[in-house]
Amino acid sequence: MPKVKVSQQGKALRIGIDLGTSRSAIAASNGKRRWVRSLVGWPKDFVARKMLGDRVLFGDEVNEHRLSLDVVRPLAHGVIKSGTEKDEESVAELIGHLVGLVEPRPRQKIYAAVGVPAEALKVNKQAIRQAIADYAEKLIVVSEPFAVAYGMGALDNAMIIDIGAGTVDFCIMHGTMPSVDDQRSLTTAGDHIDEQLLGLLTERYPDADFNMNIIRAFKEEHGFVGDSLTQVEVEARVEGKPVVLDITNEIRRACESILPAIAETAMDMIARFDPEYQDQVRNNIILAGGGSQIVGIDTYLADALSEMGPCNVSVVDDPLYAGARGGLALAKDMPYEYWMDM
Amino acid sequence: MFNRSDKRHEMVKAAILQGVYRDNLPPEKRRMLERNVRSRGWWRAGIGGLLVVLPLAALFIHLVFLQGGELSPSIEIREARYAPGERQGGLPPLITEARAGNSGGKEPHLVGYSREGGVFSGYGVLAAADNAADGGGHLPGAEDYGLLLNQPGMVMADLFGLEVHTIVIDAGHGGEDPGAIGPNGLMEKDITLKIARLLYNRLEDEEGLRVILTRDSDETLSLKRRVEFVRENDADLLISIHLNTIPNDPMTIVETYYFGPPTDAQSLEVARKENRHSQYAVGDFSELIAQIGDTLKQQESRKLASHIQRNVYGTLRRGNPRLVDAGIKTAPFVVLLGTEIPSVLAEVTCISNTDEEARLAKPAYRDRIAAALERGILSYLSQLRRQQKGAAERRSIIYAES
Repeated sequence: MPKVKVSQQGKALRIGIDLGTSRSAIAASNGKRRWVRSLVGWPKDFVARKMLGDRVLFGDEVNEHRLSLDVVRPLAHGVIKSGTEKDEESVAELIGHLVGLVEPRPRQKIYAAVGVPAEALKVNKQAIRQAIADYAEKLIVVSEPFAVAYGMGALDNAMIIDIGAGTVDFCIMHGTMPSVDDQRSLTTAGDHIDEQLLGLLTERYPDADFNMNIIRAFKEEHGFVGDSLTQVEVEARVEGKPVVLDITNEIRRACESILPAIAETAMDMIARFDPEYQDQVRNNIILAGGGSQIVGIDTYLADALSEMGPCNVSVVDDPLYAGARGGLALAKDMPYEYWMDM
Repeated sequence: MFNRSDKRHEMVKAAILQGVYRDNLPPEKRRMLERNVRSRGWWRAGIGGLLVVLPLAALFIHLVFLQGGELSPSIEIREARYAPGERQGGLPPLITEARAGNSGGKEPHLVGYSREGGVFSGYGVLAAADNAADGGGHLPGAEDYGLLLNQPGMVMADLFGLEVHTIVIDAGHGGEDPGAIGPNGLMEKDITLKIARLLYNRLEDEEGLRVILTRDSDETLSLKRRVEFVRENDADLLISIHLNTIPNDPMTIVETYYFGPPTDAQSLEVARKENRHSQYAVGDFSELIAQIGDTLKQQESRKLASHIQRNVYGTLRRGNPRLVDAGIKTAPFVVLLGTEIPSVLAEVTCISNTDEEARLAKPAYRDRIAAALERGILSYLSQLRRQQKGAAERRSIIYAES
């Protein structure tokens, strides 16, 4: 019997990508996984090119050099803005960068499953497909909460609430592909918290210097809702001098600002669900996305929803990679003949 | 919590994977898939003797390419008997498929698919048998159309010689429907009317344009009535003015929607409801939706929306640096499938923002918005005219050759 040699090069690399408004992550079947802030920067002018070289910058590097760069945050507000080429280009660049980070073999084929904010999938699926097409031999695009649900195996009677920067996406899973009625989005999400926090802090400390990066760092480090055990104190600059400011109340108020709408939407969606399974869904609420990292958010929501009956709200284990992992699981599970058709 | 080895889980997973697969198929493959499924269905229906054939003595479709020109290429279908979804034999070479449809209780109309991948549907372009003999003169046939279509670089906008003459300005809401209400009580219906009037005054002065308002007072108008109004007046372009509202949020955004079916499931859902009593199967409708993505109306509405969005946002941002550009979007206003003209819905700003509400109360600010809308429309028109000039030149070459 002749020996059949399988060339490694012939075996496609399966990847899952979570294309987020704030962060994007990738997980690949070769075991590698990476994440990067969703920021793309092009050198502004000749001087900047001289300094940085003629290349596109990504993630934290963009923040470092942001004064010399034209910075694009792809998928701001959860969608590619139509008609602006830079936006589509930045998505393509970002995907290319992410794929490079997991180091495929030269000329290795790539089969990708990409999770995007639900709103983007609705509004500009085609633009997203085109942006990604250059980097993947075969491609599927799904909504972010769906990817998370798939990755966790939460396929039946579960609700995923993906709290991102641009949107909060809801998705009820009931054993089939979620339909329109099973999905909803809110536009008051992580970025909204930042704006609120900036407003509140500027009001309380009019002389202090804040910018969005500083504010976001405060939120990511100290964000909480409900009762706090300790005071939140941060260092900021007032007229150039470092001072310690108490921001406990402001950070709580900012973080809580998005919750009533989330609780209400969740209740409404559950109430519309088949009454027979409402209990199960209520006990299977999973929070994902950067927003799920706000301390106390699960308890707060469980509390808010408790008027419908007992419920269980949990936070996904690994929020940074939950979406990418789900995408990878989809890419791996998708039968070969399905891939061939795409 | 989740038992992965569970057999049911595996079945669910397989169903979901198939769903993802279908969802991600290229449109032409998805159409093929749907068509196969449907044709099997009709085969069964035929055996059961349930196929009800709608006898239409003759159907006559005019697709007028040249407005006011002597040449009027048209496609003729005679002795057509259609069942919904049935493919009709003996069609002109241009059309691969034609079906009778009846959308939302309106007059019967025909939907056809050209080989080139375009779709056309006609409301009110069908004439009864007695009109079919209107004859007289040469009517260039389908070949001419094919000839035109096969020209490299030809887009549908060029083909249809779309020249804007009549613009309908629709002031959102009105009468019993106040629309959004600002924190201090300003009503959307009043502001949209005022902006609409200002825009009317501005556009009225433009040469060659006829401008019409859907309402010039505080009156209640249903969406359906507005659509009828657009059709009755042979409008070429529709702009509907609205104000956004974002509850519990001080954010102010500008966004422009263009009507028409995006290929998402939501529009399908709405379509399902709207067309419940029509002879359309839902599958038919989704197919139509998938194809309409390439139509003239969609192309032109998108362009118009982007011109308007750019101008309104650009204008209002001066003086309000925190204004957010939400871009152009599609929304499934399926009832407006009926208006086969470029149509957009401009959400010019947010009345829910207290500062913005105060600005909107000032005539000067409203006029700035009207001016921005005017610039958007005019820049779209001038682009369209440039395009048409090029198209007219190409067209004359084609006719000379044929």
